[in-house]
Amino acid sequence: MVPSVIGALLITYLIAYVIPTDPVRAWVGEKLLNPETLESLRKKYKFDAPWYEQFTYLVAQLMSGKLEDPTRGVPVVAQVAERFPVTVEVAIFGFLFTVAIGIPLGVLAAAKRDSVIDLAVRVFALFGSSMPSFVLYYYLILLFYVQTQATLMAGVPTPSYTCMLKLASFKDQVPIIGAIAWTVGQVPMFGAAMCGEYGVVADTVARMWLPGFALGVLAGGFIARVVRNSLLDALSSDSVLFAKARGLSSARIWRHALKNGFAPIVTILGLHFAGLLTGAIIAETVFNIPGVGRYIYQGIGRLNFPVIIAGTFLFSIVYVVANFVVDVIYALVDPRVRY
Amino acid sequence: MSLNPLFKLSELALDGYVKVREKLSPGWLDKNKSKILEWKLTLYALTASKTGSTGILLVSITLFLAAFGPALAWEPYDVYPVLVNPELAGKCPYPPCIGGCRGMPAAGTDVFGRDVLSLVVRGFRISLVMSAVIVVASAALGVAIGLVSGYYGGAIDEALMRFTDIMLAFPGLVLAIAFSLTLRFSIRSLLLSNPALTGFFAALFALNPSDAPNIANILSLFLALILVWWPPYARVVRGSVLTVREQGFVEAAKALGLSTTRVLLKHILPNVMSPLLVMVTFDFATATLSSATLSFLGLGPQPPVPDLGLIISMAGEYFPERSWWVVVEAGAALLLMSLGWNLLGDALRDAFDPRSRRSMEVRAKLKVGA
Amino acid sequence: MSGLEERQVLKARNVTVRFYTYAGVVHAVTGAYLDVYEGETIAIVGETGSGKSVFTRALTGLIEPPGKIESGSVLFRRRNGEVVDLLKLSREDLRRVRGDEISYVFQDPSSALDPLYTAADHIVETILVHRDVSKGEAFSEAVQLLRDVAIPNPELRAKNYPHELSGGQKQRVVIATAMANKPRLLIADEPTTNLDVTVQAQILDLLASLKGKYGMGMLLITHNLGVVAEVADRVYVMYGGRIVESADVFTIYESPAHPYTAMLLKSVPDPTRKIDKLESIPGTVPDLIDVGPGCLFAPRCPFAKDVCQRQTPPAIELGDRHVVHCWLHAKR
Repeated sequence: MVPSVIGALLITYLIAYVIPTDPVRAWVGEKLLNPETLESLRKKYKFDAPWYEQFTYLVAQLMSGKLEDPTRGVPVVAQVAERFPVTVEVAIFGFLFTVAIGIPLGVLAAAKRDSVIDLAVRVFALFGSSMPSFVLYYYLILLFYVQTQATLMAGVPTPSYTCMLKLASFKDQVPIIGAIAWTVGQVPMFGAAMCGEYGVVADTVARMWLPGFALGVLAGGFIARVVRNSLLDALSSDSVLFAKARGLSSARIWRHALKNGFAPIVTILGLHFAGLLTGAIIAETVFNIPGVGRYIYQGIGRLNFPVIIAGTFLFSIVYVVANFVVDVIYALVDPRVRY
Repeated sequence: MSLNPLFKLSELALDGYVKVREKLSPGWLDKNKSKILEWKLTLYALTASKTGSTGILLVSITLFLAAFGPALAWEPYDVYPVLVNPELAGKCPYPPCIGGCRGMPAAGTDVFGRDVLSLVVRGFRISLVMSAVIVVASAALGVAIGLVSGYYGGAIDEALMRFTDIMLAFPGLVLAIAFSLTLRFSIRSLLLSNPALTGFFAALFALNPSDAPNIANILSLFLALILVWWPPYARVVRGSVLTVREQGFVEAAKALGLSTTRVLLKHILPNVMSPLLVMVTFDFATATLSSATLSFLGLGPQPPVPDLGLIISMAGEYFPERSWWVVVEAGAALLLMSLGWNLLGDALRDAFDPRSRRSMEVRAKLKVGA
Repeated sequence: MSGLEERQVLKARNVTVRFYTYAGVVHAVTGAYLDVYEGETIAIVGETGSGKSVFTRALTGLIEPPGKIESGSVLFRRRNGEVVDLLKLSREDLRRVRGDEISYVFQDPSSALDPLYTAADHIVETILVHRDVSKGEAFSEAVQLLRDVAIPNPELRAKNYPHELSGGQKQRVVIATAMANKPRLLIADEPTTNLDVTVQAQILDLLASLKGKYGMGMLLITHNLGVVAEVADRVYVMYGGRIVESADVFTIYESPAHPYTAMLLKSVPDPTRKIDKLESIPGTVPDLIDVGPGCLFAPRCPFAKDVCQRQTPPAIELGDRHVVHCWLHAKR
């Protein structure tokens, strides 16, 4: 795992810093700064040093949490940590909608094979994979926000300060459970729920359902197809034939088929969640959500390398961890895969 | 049995090709009878299904507009009407209206006063060339790496596959963003010092050669995507190579004294062709969307280049009341392009699938040759 | 309507199964018939593609689209003495028969068992669906059944998943599942083909002893003539989806009437004799799509006459329940 992450950083960095340019000027933008300030910035980021020194400096800074966002003068890691829970929230909504749309459709398509429903699911999947995401987001905003005012378009509802304090003290008082509760509570919606601030939860739903729905529409078709194919494979397997030959009821036969059919789907869903986290950049930009994705996007615009590096690093870790978690879940589901 | 016109057309083209090959090397027809029949059946399978024919239709439109769009477009892309005619400035983006809008385009304008439809028509070329280059280049790169890795095995295989796995393990979009951002500067200096190169790419994208920085942006965009795109091809090809290796062709060929490249090209590659073709077709759709997405994020060309993602991104500021038509028109163009490739890919995959092929063989009962 | 003789368990007549595929209509089984009496072991013999599997599945209506049971009647005497036509039963009634009064054992135990369910799970499920017992009772029955099929340490093995068992053990679990409700008829479709030779003998012995213990009838499908000689009472020979000959096992071996049967027997090498060449039947298995009239074996038959190509041979009784479908035996 670790080599992979270092590898990604290295690749990004190698290309980033082996360029004959002056990012510092870009950071500063239109402001007129005296040459000494520019020079000191350059020295700080070691732009005048050889690339391997720059890289080790950057990684060291990153790991120790001291890497700074030059446009704000604050540690990048803190900025990212602040925004990550919001991205998680968006991803959760997206995941819920994907599952709510995709799985029932997939089961239905498998049950009524080659019917109109099956064809409709196929078409739905086709559109999902052919539609540019940002175009769909704009269309949906047009429909739901402009025409019907059915959602909010700014900010993220967060639990009150007192709530966060309560969670923090809970973490300090109760050992393991406290820590878990605190971590989960970082996601604004869950934190508010734990403190009983249900108004915040309702506001969150009002805010997040549209991006979640959009993400669900895009991926739902694909998931439906995967579920359909997996179920059909399971239904035509020899063990289902044997189940029928034993006179098992329809319900029990479907149980066999679903259990076998869903094992591979768990993997795909896990990876999809990771994809939602890392692909949030577009959705956050269009829906104006202050998460890590939008932070990276803003960093791109200003050629803010520390931000980009930190963002890339975070997403790489997310992906690697997600792969690992998916493997673990699969081992739990399928008794053949035990270590 | 009535054959649809699409099939008749493609059959004519195929027959023409056959005649030419026969003229060049007599006896070719007899030797390749079964191969030609294969092609005919694939063509039939493609054109007979609704997915296939719709896909072919959409792809043809895409290719046509990509080739002739810039010539057909009625407005130049690098002229800003608002600069020419300052009184338009406050009124743009101008909404669409059918039947005379005091000289404004029926399809509406963007913030600079340019006719959106004309921009979209031009945009096909950029999208197509970008996706074509990305897919072909990454396929070539991936196939080469996969062939070498699978064929030689051992330490080379280990090293290459490790590298591939690292690349595969990362979210492509994020890496592409990082790469494209950082590559553009070197490319920019390269182009500025090399006018011939600049001219070549300008012609390719139907852009103004003096706009070197923008061309550099485009190039950095698809270079970044190529770097991220090749791993799946390497994996797939390596897998095929390993399968073929186990089947003993390679041993036999080597025993006969054939050179490595010959073995790779003539024996292994043909086995990989069908799944590769399907992959490539689907990738055209994905590449179209990915390059548009990166342009949307600002990593692609900058105004005035009529890149579809960029156009939508600029319209985003005035969205929704003042620019919804831009998003609708440019978005529809992107949708149609990727839809076409996806449909074609679906149809190709079915055409190559042995189970559905059997049925078509029976229905077609075709003949080959004179 | 009782068309069954006194000790008869099953009477199938005129069973025809067709598969409607893209390539055409496959006549998998045409006009097949079968009689099974109490305590008998019937063997159905034939090459791959002869229709034996499809026929036996059709007996309890286990045919899925694109297959369709076009015609036929399968009279079956149930435990309560009632005689029913299985092909005319409702889906729900058929489901009750399967696994309870007629059980199947299939060729590949690895694919028949569900990898996510334990050995006991399979047996318990089958019991609970057909009988009104508690889960605990079903589980102890399952353990006992595993003991009956000679699996050592049954209490432990009951909780094992299929991938933790050997091939022979898996097939024993399948047999235990089939036996769970003490069926009247066991249909075993090539139960030993996928197993090692030594294990084959054990499984066959096991089946024989269970048959005796529970007084069941057994329908054994196989292409292995050695096995047939060992265990069968009567034999049906199938070719191209049709029954071509049926007789008791001794008659089949000593005086086969159909050329196909004769050639089949000759192709089994005798280990005590030295020969230069192995005997085989020339030609290939017939294509069952869009089948016309005439004997399907004619193209490969050394005794084929004109009439064989033109007309399908009828059933000809040769006495003593020996029936053959061949023009050679037709009386002019």
